[in-house]
Amino acid sequence: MKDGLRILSVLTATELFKLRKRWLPWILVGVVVLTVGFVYFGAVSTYLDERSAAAPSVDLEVAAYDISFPGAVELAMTTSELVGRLVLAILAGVVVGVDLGSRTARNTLLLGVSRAQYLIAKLVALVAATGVGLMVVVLVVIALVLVAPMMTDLPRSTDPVLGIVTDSAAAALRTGYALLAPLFLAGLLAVVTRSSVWAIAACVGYAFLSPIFWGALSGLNVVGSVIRQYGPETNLGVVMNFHDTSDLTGSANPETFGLWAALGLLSLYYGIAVALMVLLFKRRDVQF
Amino acid sequence: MPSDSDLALRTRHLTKRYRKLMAVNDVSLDVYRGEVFGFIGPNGSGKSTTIGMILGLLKPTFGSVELFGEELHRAAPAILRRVGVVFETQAYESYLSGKDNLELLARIAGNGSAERVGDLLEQVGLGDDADRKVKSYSLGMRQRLSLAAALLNDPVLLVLDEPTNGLDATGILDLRTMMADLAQQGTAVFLASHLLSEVEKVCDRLAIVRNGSILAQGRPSELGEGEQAMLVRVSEPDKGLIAVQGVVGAERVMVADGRLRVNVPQERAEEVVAALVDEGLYPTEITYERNSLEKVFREVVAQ
Repeated sequence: MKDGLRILSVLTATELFKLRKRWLPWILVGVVVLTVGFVYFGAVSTYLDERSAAAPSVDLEVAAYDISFPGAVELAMTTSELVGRLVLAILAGVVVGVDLGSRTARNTLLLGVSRAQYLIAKLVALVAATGVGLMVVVLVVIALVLVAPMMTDLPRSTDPVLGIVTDSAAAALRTGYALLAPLFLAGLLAVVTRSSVWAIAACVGYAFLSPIFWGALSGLNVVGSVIRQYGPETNLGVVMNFHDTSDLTGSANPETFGLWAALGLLSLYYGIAVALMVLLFKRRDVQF
Repeated sequence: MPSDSDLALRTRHLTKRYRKLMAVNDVSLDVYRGEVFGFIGPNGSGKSTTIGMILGLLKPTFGSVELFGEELHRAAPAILRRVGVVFETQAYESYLSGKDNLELLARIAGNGSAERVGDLLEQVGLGDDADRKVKSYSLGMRQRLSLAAALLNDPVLLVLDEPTNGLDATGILDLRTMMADLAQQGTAVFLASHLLSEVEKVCDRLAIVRNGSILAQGRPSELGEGEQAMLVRVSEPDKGLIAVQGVVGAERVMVADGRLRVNVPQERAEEVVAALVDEGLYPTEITYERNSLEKVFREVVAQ
């Protein structure tokens, strides 16, 4: 048990070290930060345009919310979740798939590491990297929200600081939880295909095609609607769009669950994905 | 004969089938501490697949592997910490230095002092290139890095798959010396190679493998030198093979160059001829020849 935990922590530290030494994670973090920055400045530009317009086409209060605390953080998290689907598919595909495809996995497995420990350490490292990435995004948004009003006249939040902190932290946590989906999906596909390229391609394909698929399913018939309600996309939407405590146990929309039920279902899917990943990896040959 | 307590590796009926391809077929062998065991055969004969099963990377279709008296599939993964491996193809994190790669492995293995890693890199001749990225290493340097990684845990069993691949003459000599030294210190060395010259110089025992099956196994002296081979030409060698196998045993007879090659002393020639005549096969030519290991290997793999 003690040795098992030692191995797990060393393996996780090893994976994080390898991530730190690669260019790819830094490039991906850069892509997310740039996208979040563009979206923020887009929101600022919209607000300034609408404020100077004779008849604003959007609610100015909503536009102001998106460029101040905690709305700017929530907007950044929504953006991060969308971009993160692609970014984490690439990262997870590389972290799991490259080692399996390029035969480096054997070096670790021959040092008395179980296959479950090997995979779980990779997943823990990916989750930690995702957390760090989101923290970077939050820090960038904080900097943007503090710096932007110095350049032009922008509204500042009048919310209490504690409320801003808890709302921002909740948005980051929800996003982090939602981002486990592409991470586990890419990891599972990398184990199935033993190739980072195929895993990434399948995940990116899914990210683009899933709205069409789930939309078509709900339009099919009642059974399709029920499947959609229980499907991951609807429940990821519930988690990301959560706004107030009235959505905890129920939803105004009869086609979606409340937050707790959505989290429960997603946790079940995540558990199944990880179990399948470990089971498949344990049963299959390792390329060497 | 060493005792079972000296047993480092035992395989029984080890078999691996990929759909229609039989990669390894019924391989049974024992490797003891303090010996260098050669596993020799042409490319594609199933050597690496056998090694993959021995190390638990490939699941056998049938058969078992025991390491140090414990069945591999029941033993804890930690049993593999007593095994060092050099593979034919090298796979390292190419964006890290040789030292970084080795330190990462050492940390996982639980014996990662910087001093130990430095010593190992010096030992394999990579001391001056330790901080260079692996992607800039030559094939031979990668092979040396593998050797250092294999020695990290002071292995009780060292498995080498074509270890001279990419090594220069000095590297090959160093490797040979190292294998002999390790065996002398009680390490079991399992050396897989397609080069007879490499194996016969260092091995205490060897197995010749082709198409996934062991064709001959024993000490080099038993397999080759010191024994005579009786070469018999008959009209139907395959039929003769079965007849003679019944008299001298399957391991002592084979068909080579359209003739029966029977590894028995001249005194048993009468038995062999009688067995053939009983089957209606009358020898048209009988000659004797002193075996050499090279000849045996060439003929066995050419069958």
